[in-house]
Amino acid sequence: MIYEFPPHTAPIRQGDIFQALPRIELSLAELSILTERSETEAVSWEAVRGSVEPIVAIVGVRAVWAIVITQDCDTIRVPDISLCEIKPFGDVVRMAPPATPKRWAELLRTQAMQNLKWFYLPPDPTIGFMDRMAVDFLSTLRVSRGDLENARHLRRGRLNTVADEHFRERLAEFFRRYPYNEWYAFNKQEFEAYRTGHPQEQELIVPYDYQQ
Amino acid sequence: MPDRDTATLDISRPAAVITLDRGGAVYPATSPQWYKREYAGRLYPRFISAIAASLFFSTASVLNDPRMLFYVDSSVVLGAQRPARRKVSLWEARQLALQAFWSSERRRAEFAEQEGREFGEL
Repeated sequence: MIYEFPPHTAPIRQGDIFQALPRIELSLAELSILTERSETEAVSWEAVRGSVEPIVAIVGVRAVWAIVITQDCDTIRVPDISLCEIKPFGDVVRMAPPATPKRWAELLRTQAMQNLKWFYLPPDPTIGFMDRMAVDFLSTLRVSRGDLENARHLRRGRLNTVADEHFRERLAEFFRRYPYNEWYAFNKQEFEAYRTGHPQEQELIVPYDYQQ
Repeated sequence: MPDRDTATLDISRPAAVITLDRGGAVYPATSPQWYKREYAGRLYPRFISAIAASLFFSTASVLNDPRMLFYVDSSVVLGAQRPARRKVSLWEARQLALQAFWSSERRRAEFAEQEGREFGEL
């Protein structure tokens, strides 16, 4: 499919796919910390955020698939490598799976243009994807470069040239997005129809003078 | 927004990673090889419950405003039955975590100095 398999010694590049990297979860509302007296306490982040010294805390970790998003020229020199989590397609796009190849093709083609929050990864047992997967641009993690270089045995493959060209474009598109008013050019009637059609965002949809 | 805080996470060296098993015992993972042993041949991420990692929060700040930026470093870990595991006290676990924290801070500082030199020569 769209993957290639670099030798173990190959430098880390954008599009490299790693298995079982740790993703950390913590709560700012209630954090378990380990004090200097080797005691554990549950505190809110607000209560300790002013500490000058580092704080040691206990956090939960999940092993996840992830893909490198740091660009190639940085992956050989920066202190930390950034990655995005890879999830089963159904976890990223919550919908009933299409019933036919034709509908799958249509879904992947249209969603790739309309929904920029994910990047599709087809199944390929060689890399370890038995089902359809997706890169979730909303879920990022960071690993020190030295550690990731030492953990290259966890690299299961990387995107091939064609796939990488698409990936870097989608990645750039996602991170350059910003909010804007889609309704600026509507007349009054069009504006009202638009606002009615977006009931959960009505408080944010404010008309311009010429739409009142 | 001057009161807006940001936090970033960083995985530090596996050698300083701490795990907490179901019984509450603390272990360091002394080699990244456990990853390979633990996950070789597995197809999907595995959820590991009751894992302790060391997480460090430093209010080292920019713009002299400690509210502006937090560095949150962590050394992690996962794992179950591994020869590289050994029990350590909570005090030792804390020291390992702090070593990982300062190691990461030092690497970033060195990189920033290197960048500064390169830009200075332009």
